[in-house]
Amino acid sequence: MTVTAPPRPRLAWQAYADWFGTARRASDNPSDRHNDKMTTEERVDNPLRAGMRSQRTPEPNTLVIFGASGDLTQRKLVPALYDLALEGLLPGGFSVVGMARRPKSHSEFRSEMKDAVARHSRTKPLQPSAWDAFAANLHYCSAQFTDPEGYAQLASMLEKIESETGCRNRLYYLATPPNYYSEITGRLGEAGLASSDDCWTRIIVEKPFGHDLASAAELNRTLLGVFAEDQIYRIDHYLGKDTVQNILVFRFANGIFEPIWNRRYIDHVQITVAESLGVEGRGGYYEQAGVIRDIIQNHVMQLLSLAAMEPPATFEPDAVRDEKVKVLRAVRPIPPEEAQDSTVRGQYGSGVISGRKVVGYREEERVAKDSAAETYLALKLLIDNWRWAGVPFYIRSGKSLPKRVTEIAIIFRQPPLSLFPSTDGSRIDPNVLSIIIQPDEGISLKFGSKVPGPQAALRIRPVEMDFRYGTSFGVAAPDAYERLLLDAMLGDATLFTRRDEVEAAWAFITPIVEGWAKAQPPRYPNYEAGTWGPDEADEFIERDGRKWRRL
Amino acid sequence: MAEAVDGVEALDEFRAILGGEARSVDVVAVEQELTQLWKAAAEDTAEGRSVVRACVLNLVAYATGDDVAQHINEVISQISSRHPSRSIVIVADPQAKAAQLRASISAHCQIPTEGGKQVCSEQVTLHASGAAVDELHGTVLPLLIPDLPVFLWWHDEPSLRSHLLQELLDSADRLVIDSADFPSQRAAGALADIQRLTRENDVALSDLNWSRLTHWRELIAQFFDAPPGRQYLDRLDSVSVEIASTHGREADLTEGLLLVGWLASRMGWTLEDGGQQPRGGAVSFALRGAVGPVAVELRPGPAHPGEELYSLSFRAGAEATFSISRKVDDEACVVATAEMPDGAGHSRVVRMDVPSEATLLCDELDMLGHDVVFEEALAQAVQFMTAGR
Ligand SMILES: NC(=O)c1ccc[n+]([C@@H]2O[C@H](COP(=O)([O-])OP(=O)(O)OC[C@H]3O[C@@H](n4cnc5c(N)ncnc54)[C@H](OP(=O)(O)O)[C@@H]3O)[C@@H](O)[C@H]2O)c1
Repeated sequence: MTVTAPPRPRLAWQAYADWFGTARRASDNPSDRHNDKMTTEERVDNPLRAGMRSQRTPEPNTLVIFGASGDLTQRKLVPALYDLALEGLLPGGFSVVGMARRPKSHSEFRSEMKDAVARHSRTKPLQPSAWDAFAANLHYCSAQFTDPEGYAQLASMLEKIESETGCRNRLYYLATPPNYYSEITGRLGEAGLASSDDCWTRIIVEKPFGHDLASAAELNRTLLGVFAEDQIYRIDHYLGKDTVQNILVFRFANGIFEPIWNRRYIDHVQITVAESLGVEGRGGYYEQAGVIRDIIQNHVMQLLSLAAMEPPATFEPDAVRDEKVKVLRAVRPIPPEEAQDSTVRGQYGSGVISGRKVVGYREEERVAKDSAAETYLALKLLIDNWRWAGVPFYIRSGKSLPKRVTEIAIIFRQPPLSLFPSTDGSRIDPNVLSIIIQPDEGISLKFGSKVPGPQAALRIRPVEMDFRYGTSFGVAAPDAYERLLLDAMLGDATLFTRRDEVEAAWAFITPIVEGWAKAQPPRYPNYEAGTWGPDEADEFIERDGRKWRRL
Repeated sequence: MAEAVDGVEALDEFRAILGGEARSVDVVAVEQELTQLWKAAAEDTAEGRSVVRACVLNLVAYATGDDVAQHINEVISQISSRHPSRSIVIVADPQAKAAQLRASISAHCQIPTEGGKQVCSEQVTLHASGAAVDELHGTVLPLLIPDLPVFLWWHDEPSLRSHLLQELLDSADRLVIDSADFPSQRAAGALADIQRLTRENDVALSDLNWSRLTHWRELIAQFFDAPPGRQYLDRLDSVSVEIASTHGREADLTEGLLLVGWLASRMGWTLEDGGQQPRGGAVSFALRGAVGPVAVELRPGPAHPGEELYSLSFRAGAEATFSISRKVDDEACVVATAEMPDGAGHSRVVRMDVPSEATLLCDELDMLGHDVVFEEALAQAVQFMTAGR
């Protein structure tokens, strides 16, 4: 009789390695090839797993979605689950219980979900027999999140399902407005649903995780009053993206980058998260959040920590997260008094994006006519550690910019001596390594090369060496939520944020927001939709003798 | 003046090649012609987008006859998005009297994503007949791009007597075959020969017939990933496999035997007695596992368009049964069912498309090193086949 297999920390690394297969193939290093050998010696609990791509399927479990009629559930969660089921990646004996306020029958719930899956699944058309089999395990429980009765009802529903599947592993997913996170957590604890003796119970918490340091810490306290840290999975869906995971592979699976990945060779780093869309009907939320909470505090800080972290000793969840949090802690704080000068805020006015007229932020639905929410932010941050001291990281992110692009660009220092006198007054461009995360994911390196010609005067022009994958190579990548849901069921927390990471990120962000609150807001709107943000942002970086990359 | 005319012609010509046409070239000038093609492509900014020549591996394909060559062209064009490669397609007619060699070049281009770059890869086709076939390696080897892995896809039953095969194996990293195309009475011998040959040359081996099993193996393994299923794995005492007849042919057992070979090699089952022949075309084997005997049976099942494996079932005494079977009313799906005591059983429907040849090949091209699990499964399967005769 075997017992539950312990979480296999190799899994995450395995997936990275698989994923990066394409790129690695280009190098034909014999030692590499040896590593590629599928080993049969590897100790797997299930002997049939030797040499297989996926190392195991999750144990049978029941996923309880709080907020089961919401937008997130319909657009992301249930379609992701269906796609996983279709691929056979979900275990037999997997069920879903959806919980929300409005009363409806199981079959009404199923048919709503069927429409949602038909619209949003990445595999079309809907496969009727696979859907029917999947839908048979969908259940609905209607209750107010504040009502203890509802949790009793949930408990008896779970009991009934589990008596059929014989398995009591549970995964809760908080897909509700954030003000219910604490309430639900507390009620689950009260109802005795937060743990069980011989099975696992886990909880996934959606973003936003708090709105400042105090509220995030408070939410952590509430969660930790009921669940243990290793039961809590805080989602940042950026981490579920293949290309984000690839930052680690790129840095640590290739020998040539790590030696130059430091202050000695790097002049500065630019991280850009640009969106070409406006707030798209989420004005109410955006008014409270602004780009600093919507993108910077979570996604950008994650990108930053992956790009700047030290190599972890192993690819186990905590080893990786230990290194990530060290970076966040080493970020030099921007105190409230400096917030105004160290950042540039913007808000878009009306304009034209890709030939389409768009309204200004203040004309969007559920946005105040004199709103002070920022839809653009540029800032400079410094990391005070041996690797990065003195290397500025310039961050910019905004809505209604000319195009959608997320990239990390490493701008290298100029060579120590300029051997080649410039003839036309232009200086030689620095080397740039850019890691493009979306939409056209890839890596490119810019370097100088001689313009052909017999002239005595050398002309040097930048050329680019490009490596593209994903969309341009026609592979449909799985959705980030598929990966993350599966990882949570498998108990692999590598791609989820830990308590200290969230709090460290808020500790950096909160003083900035406080500083803004005390100062006069900029005169909004200060950039036209379809442009690269306010002019002040250009002046901001030019003050340091640098320029934003043209993307 | 003459130069300008040339320029225009060259431009039209390379556009035609990027558009999918093949162009005959002098065998000794292949490399030069390709260089010119990409140079012209790089300079053509007329449509405001650049063409990127991409290549991550060398793919040498061997085919006999133009029909097969045509089919290979299609497969390469489908995989070129995931594995842009330099492909060298050999179309051989060894039986012909006259020794002849002709070459042509062509390209495979992706439809570019909006605003993106157009990614293209190149193909050289070599038509050889008569004695020229045996000497072809002299033409192929210099065409390989240095420092990139070499995959040799032998779209034919490999013959140990082929001088060309021997020579190409010297430079190859992986040999790809498809044992589904081998006549079943010869499959055992052919597979055993190939395994020996690749071992001698230290070349990794792929059999597309094995890749067809990937999804099946995944579903089988899933039964035993977690308790309560796991405890029955060591107590399995019967395995039964149903083989469909495909394309109107008689059921071919090779794929099923590879599957049984895999189970036996993973579980350490050894062959006690084998090949008790037909009871309605069924074959059975008596194996011995760690706990006791295991009875294995392969038998012909209903017809299925495209795939040979139709259903599997495993039993542990009277207690537990695990089965996977094509759905009768929806052939794209299978039903995976576990029946265990105390309500621990479950049943679900999983999509299982019959993978295309391009998909199978793609998976093999992902792999650089030896697939040890396959090689062990193959060794067992060969044993079963030999015993079965
Ligand atoms: N939507 C996205 O793309 C997205 C992306 C990232 C993160 N998120 C986060 O995910 C969470 C959910 O977002 P969403 O857009 O899906 O929200 P939503 O569309 O507003 O859905 C809210 C859900 O909660 C239920 N609910 C609300 N109050 C309730 C109560 N008192 N008792 C019982 N049920 C109640 C609603 O049920 P009824 O319909 O029955 O009222 C509905 O199912 C939010 O925290 C959001 O920040 C969303």
